[in-house]
Amino acid sequence: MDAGRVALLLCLLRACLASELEQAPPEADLRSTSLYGRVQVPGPQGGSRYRDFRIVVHLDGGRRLTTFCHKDGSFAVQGLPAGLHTLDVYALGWFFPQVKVDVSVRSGTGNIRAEYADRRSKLAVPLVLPGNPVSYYDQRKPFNAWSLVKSPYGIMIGVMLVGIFIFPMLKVDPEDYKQMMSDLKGQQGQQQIASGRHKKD
Amino acid sequence: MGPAVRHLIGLALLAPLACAMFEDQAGKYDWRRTFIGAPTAAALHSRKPRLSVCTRPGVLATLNLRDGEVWWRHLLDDEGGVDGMAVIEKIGVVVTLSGGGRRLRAWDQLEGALRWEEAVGRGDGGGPSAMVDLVRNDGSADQPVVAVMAGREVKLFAATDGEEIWSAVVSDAPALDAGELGAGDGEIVAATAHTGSGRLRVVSLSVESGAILSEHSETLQQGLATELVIGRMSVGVLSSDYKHVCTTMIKGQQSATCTSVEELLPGKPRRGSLYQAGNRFLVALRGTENNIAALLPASGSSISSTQKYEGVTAATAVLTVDEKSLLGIVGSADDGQGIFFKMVDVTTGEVVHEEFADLHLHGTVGPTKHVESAFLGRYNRKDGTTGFRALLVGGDDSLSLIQQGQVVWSKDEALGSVQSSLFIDPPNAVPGVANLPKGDLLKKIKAQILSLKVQFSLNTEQEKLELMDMKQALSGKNAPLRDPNGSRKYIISATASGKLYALHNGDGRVVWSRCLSQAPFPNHVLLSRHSHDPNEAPQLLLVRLGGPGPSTILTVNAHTGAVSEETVPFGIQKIVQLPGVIRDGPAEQHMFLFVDDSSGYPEAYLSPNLPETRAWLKEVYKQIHFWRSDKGNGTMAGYGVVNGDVDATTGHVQLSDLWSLSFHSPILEIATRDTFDPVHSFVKILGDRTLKFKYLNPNTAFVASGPAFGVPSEELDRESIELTVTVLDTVTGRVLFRQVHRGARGPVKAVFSQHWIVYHYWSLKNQRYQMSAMELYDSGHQGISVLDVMLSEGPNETLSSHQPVPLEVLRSSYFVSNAVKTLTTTKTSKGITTQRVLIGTAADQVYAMDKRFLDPRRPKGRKPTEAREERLIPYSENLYMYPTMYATQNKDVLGLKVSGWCFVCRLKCECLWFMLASIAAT
Repeated sequence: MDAGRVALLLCLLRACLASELEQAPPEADLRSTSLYGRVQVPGPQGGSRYRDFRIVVHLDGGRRLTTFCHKDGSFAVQGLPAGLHTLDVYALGWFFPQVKVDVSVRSGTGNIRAEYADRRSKLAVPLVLPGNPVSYYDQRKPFNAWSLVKSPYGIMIGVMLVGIFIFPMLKVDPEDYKQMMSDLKGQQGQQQIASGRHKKD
Repeated sequence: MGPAVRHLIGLALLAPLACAMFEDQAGKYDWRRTFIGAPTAAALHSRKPRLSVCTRPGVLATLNLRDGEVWWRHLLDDEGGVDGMAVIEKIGVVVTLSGGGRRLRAWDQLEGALRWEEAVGRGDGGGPSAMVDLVRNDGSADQPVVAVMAGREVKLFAATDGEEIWSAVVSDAPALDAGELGAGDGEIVAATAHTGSGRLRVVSLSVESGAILSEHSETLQQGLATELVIGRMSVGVLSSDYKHVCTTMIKGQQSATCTSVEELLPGKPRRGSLYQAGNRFLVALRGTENNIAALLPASGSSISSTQKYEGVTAATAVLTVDEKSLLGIVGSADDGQGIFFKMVDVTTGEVVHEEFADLHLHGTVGPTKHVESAFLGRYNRKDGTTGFRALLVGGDDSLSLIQQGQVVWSKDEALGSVQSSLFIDPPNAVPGVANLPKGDLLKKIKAQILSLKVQFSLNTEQEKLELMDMKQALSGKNAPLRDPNGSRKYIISATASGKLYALHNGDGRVVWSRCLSQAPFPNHVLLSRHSHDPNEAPQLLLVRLGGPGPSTILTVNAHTGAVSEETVPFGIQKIVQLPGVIRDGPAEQHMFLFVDDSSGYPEAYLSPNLPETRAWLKEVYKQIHFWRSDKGNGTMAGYGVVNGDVDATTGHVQLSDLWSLSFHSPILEIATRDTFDPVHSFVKILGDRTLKFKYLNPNTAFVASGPAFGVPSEELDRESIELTVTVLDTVTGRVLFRQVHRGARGPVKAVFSQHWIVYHYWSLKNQRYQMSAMELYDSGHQGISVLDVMLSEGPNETLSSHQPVPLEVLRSSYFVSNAVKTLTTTKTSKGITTQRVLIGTAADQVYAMDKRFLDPRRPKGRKPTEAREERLIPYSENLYMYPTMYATQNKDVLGLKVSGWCFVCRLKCECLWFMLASIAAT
């Protein structure tokens, strides 16, 4: 993390030096209009982390300027002409919103303004561009026992289990049934007798 | 300067219809191969197993020297490719000069990350580019530096941080087209030349200060080849006819001496190369029959007294070993079996080391190629002696490392420069090949167990790969035979290096390959004849599009790779496929008009020039039309055939002017329908049961015109910036529809299929990329019901350009966030399946967008019942790209150029895609 801060400071320092250069008239040296920035993605930094990140500026008129990232994710686009350009960061597995870059030379200085293309929020120069991870595949759902139960197979197994274990418990022995019925009839007779007596009373 | 195609990089990918898929499904139906192209420069690390190369298509890569595995690669996406490369082992960086000598970059050799980048100011921008690395003592320590030639200037940069140390003007000549830098003892030698006039200037500069130490100019009468070679004491150059080698001393004012090398190779050499050999030079000449190399004499003695080496085709740079200056020479062995590699002591001319390697540079059929360039490396053997290894680049774009007479590894990079491809059906039967492979039971059980493990995510990565291999081996999809659904195909691909391949679409393996004999190589493959008899092989035509005449037309048997050649006296700038076939039993013969407009007016030639095709043209000549365009001037013109008479010898056809049209601004894009564009139905039934009749005239073109590419908007009148899109009839030149997008401009990409057009452009007004969709309907029919159409009482799909119908054009526009490189569409056998627009993005990925998102009838506001019934998606001004809909999944096609090759199977809903990368430069 500290290394990242140091890199950002260096980046800012370079930008300051660059802005000094930008005080010179543009005809003197077109290279003076340079855009500095840094891309950031989560995860372990350093090594070849930012190796395959490409910074592409689509210049006004259709031409393109391509540059690459340094080890720490910082980049410098050199030789930007005046005009309104778009900057894209291309990296597989990451999404970076498009940035509009306005290079103005009206007052004789290479003034650079930047903002996101799809939302009118200003960006500080040097740019700090965070990336969001992107998945190009549908995600398989993790194993879930409840979803197995809810599946047609689960329901079929459930119904079978009910048939095997619950239904036999509902089955009544015919002799017990007769006994129950007779008991029931006996109870009803006693109740009628009891109620008839009561009426007579 | 005509367009020179400098090609490719990249990868080929093949997929069935794209839809979101799970990660474990990737690689089941698709494959991907990556390439780096043929190296132009290479550096073998002296101590570590690393090899850095820069290649013709502009790729910089570092490979494992032991097995050729690519550790990392970058496409230096600058115009002009890579101009120079130097590896500075001391600090572990690779320095590259690219973009026409404008970009100097240093890369970490092991990790591939950018160390630093500097823009090289070039003054007026023209002139040669060159780079050399050397060491400079800045007073305290030795500092690695790189010297860069930028037109008339030489600049010195520190290799550690890219800081510019000094710059010096080395020439004041107005036009320079060749230049070379060399490093001497505390000095830098810069040689510049204008090859046309033979003017040569040599300047020696101090490494410390950039001060000019010596300078002199010469004018050589012989004319110069563009290769300048800087030796230890002198600068050498081959004459443009390869008959003289002229040398001039770096220091001293004596005039140049030219030595005739004519006697080395009688007759006119086809090619010549000059190599630095210490105080001398080695000249290698290539003839039609034999090749020879010779060490030039140190002083003015005759060439006949010097050492000659037969069969040499390439040489390496000089290496100093034990105070001896050694040079490697490579060539084809006498018996034609393999190659030889010899080390020559440049002082005495003796061969000090010799080895033969069993390396064959040819396809599975066809002629052999030679080694075109070689790069030398050294290593320390266990016994303390010095060993040599050489990286060889073959004429077939193969890359091989040889060491101790063994081919350590070999890579075929020719497929990195595919220029044209065609899908054809494989043969019906091949002797000894079964339709389904015989797998033993144990193997099948093992595959099932592995499959279960993968299903429940209990597998290791190794098991996953093993399962994929087993499935490939057990499935019949890779059999080299025809299948009932037409899913198995051969992909015939012609490469820029003159190699022709038939790849199997199942796994991308090479079925056959063939080296073509002589440049210029064809860059376009056409299906000439195919038969409904599955035992008859399709016949292909290979032509070179864009070259001057005379040109060679190759006829290829697509199943075996057998080639027959025919030389025609004309060049081909445009190919017109004629709308018809001639039936010959079960076979169908396709016909073409080859148009040569090198003289300013088009001349057309019929192919094949047979009595039957001539008779056919005589019959239908009134229906033959074509157009050509001048994009820069913004004009188009249409032509027709006059009387159908065809010259029996040359196939020449008389043409007449039909129309011409001026767009008053440069043409940015032209899109037309395919000649055989399948359409399922010519009507569209709406939700309220009314009908819309599609406008399906095949002679319709979409043209976008506007401000020229590359001109900044600041230089244009802001109010006048507009993009005009025109739909026109290519038979009569009649404008059918025109729309102006105010405040919009190119670059424009467009695709035209069936009755719809989709195009992509830049909206200056909104500062966003936009895509517009356009659908063309014939509005001349009213009150016709579905039943009328079913009973054929309504209009049919036939349209005549001479009887125009009222046109209804539906349009809608959307914002998109991606810049686009290519636009194309999927195509299926019967045109029933919903099409997808394949968008090749600037990130070198391919997105498959459902055409329903680009439907101009998407309802705005509340969705009416009819729209609900038609399942129209409500309108939204933004078109989003969902990551799961990328056809390339989590891969990219580095340097994507073409994604337009879509091929249909007999199965109605299936189509195969083949995506390729190539870089075109003018």
